[in-house]
Amino acid sequence: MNFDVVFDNLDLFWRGAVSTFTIAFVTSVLSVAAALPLAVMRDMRSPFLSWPAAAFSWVSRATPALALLFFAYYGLPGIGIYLAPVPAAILGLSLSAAGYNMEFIRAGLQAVPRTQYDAARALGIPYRAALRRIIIPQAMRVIVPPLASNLTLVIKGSALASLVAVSELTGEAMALISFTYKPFEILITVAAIYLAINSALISFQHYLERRFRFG
Amino acid sequence: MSQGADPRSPAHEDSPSAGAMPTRVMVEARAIVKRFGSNTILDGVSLAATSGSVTAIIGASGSGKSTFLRCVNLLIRPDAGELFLDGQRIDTDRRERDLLRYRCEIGMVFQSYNLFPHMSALQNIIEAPMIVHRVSRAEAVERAMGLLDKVRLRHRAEAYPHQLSGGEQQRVAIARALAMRPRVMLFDEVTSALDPELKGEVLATMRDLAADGMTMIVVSHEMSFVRQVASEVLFMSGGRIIERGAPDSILDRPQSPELSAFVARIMD
Repeated sequence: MNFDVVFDNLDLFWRGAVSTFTIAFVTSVLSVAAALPLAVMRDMRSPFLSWPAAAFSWVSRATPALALLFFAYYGLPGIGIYLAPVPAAILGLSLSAAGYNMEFIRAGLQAVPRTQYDAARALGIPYRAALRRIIIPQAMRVIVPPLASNLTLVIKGSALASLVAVSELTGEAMALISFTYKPFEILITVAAIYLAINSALISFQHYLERRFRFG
Repeated sequence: MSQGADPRSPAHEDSPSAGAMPTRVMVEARAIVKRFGSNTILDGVSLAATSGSVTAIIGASGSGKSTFLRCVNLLIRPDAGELFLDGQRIDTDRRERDLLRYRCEIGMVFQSYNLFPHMSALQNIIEAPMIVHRVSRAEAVERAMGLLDKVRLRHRAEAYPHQLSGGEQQRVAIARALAMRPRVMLFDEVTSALDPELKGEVLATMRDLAADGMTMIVVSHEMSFVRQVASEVLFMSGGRIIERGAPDSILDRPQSPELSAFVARIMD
């Protein structure tokens, strides 16, 4: 075992890690930001709001992430939309993750007793303020663990981006293996980097779990 | 108490609907009908509560008492009937957003307290005034501490709901409703979930409130409280008001077989 191959190519690992982190971070933020309103819409009484949300959830979860990714990069130009590799990867991965995020958030919102909505309504608190101040903080206990788990999958799944010409960690590492023939050392390093990025996310999950603990 | 000093509370002017009534009618419901599917839960229930009165609604479970109370503050929208607050007709078909101001005028306390579990007693109380009335935090806290004094819980301001007894939670819930400076308070079986020794402190708080001149509509099974505090008692059965009158006449001289049976059941 000789890790010289890693130290000689630190800049490659660094660039790959930064690229993976950036794609995963932006995808996480976008997919959660999109999922929250969709989760709320999904259980609205108006079919004009609930149907599009239900349709999105269905398509997003029932199609492969890779298919969505290819569609964003190879498919969209067919209707005149040309995305650079990184934005295309972020779009495809976000569409794929948002459907799951949405269902986790929805489960959390449904776990808050109806009586909490009644209490807020009886006090004259508008719906959006009630969601923000009363319902979501209580729903977080249910939402955070599965949502964070899904985002660890998003981080690991960002390796798919290499298939639409993004130079991220896994793709760069595979390229390095192909001319150094040192798969063991290189893949251990790659795994350690994913572990580090996901550990940060899991720490954040634990922080949120403590932050929203009560009772 | 701040409610007593509120210029809106005392009868400072006659409302159009007051008409020949000796005192001003604060809240009135006319012929409220509510159906769930083919079930008629409320079949034309009417009530007029004058300013400072305590109206008690009694009846067996399933008689429509709670549904009626929820129709009064439009947590449930009636299928037919009219609502008036201080003589002003409330358009019950308006969007939820437009009903919020009406609801602020009508405080409600629930059987299961429904405090916000992630907030301290104090936070529970200041939340709605800050969001809805845009009261500054300092002012909201000052008012809340006054209300906690009133329900004798100043020393529990920082406690979370799970750290409070049921009776304490319910008194915080009363303070939370009062923080919106409502003109009417609705109490939906607020002592039913409490152990007997905790009911007393909640009923005492309600007695104080009635003595302060708050207009109250109370769904209750506490017959001694009803007898002592209520100005009028309504007996509901099958979604209708079967009898109404002064507490003593309702409880001691029931006219209808339904009320006779109900009184016989609760007195033993």
